[in-house]
Amino acid sequence: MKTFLERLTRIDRRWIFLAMGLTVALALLINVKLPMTVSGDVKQAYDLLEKLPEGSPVLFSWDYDPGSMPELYPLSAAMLRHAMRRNLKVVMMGHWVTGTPLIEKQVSEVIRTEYPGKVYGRDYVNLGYKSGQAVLVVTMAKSIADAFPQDYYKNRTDTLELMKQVKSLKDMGAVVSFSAGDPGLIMWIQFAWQRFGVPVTGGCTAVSAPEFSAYLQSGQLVGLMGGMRGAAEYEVLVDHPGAASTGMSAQSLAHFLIVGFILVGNIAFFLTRKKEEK
Amino acid sequence: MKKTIPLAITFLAGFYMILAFFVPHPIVANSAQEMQSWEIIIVAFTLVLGIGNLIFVHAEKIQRRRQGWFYSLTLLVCLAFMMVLGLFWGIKEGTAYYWLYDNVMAPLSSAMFSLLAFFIASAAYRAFRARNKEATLLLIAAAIIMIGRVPLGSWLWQHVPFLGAKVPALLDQVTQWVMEIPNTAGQRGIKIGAALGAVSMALRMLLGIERSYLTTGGN
Repeated sequence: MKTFLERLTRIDRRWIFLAMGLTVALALLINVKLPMTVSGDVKQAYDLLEKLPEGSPVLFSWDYDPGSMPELYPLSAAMLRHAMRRNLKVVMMGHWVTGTPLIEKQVSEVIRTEYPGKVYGRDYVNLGYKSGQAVLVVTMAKSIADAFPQDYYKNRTDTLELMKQVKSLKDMGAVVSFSAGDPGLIMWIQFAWQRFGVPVTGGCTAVSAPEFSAYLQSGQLVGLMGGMRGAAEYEVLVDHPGAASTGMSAQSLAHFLIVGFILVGNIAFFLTRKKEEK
Repeated sequence: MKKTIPLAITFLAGFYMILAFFVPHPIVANSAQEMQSWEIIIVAFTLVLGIGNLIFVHAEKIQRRRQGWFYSLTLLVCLAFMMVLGLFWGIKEGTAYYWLYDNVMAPLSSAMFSLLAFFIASAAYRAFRARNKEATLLLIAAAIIMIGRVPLGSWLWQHVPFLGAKVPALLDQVTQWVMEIPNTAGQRGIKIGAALGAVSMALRMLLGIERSYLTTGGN
């Protein structure tokens, strides 16, 4: 028994990797749909877009790169779909240079495919990437055309129909940031909301969700979608199950597996320690 | 002179930006706004510096045939290739750049990030031990959050005899409580500490006490 417990405490980590790989693969293959309850934070973010008058401009900022795609890409798709459905005018941009093509990918998959009637320049604009981070946000509050003289497709920004109506960040009904770190959601809260009073919402990776709780409680952040769960809840709200809803079964089982590992590890640790003490 | 002039520029520019917060006169506000716009150009130069540094470090590795030099060569070839494709043929959907981004870079980056799950599982098994009171509390809180944040957790709890059936929302409520009360209290402390640190560092730089940003590594 002692040998078994000792072996258990010194198990080769490749067995753990294998267990995790098999669990996730199995969950994705079986794809069990579990009932999803929508949390208050996600509902708050949904309501922010839902209550904006039709035709209001909103800014969507893709502040992530392909590394965080599994968590944030489904969320940005769901929110973009919601904005298009509500006929909001979407101005898109990104603070992460390696994430900019994701905007193009999303425009192609959501807008061009599902909303072919939407016209570029009138209903949505892709400004692309620009360096500057917080300074860029402050400059956008003065003039978006100054901050982005050209859009992603090299059109002059001030010639686009939508940008003739939306001159500055202050004209936006809301800012939505899909954030994997810095620059991201915190920067938008600190500048767009705190300095210029534009309501800010968005989503972040699951690991960074706890750091936003203080901003949520103070009302500086209007709702939050944390990780894939947040994205799956938003998919429920827009009634369009997608990648996040599918991924939740895998994430559920992965979480349980990790808790199981923690339990087994602790049991083995305590039993071997007691034997040593004797 | 090499240090005095940068220190003077830092002092004047820094305090002028602080002054702009308190003086709403158009001359001050507009000039401060203009200076902020210059910062966008300076930040853009950091990208150039970053790429330059990357090329320098890996070129040296290749030249000296250090271990793994072949990977450095691959990196530099890919960097040049993507750069040429993007600069001359554009980055829109349908271009070669976009195809490579979508089919090579995006899956590779996502795969790198997904490895985190494997390492978390391994680390949890080996290091997450209830060695003392604090570690036990952390362990319990982590387990509650991990179970409570996934739909399977809520579903299973609702099927626990007696407890789950009587209070079906208890797990969600406890998860919410952990996030909103102990977590937020800790986060606030960290944020206030970090903000005070940032303010003191900014003041040290403006007053010329902190000069490390003027030197290169080791000098």
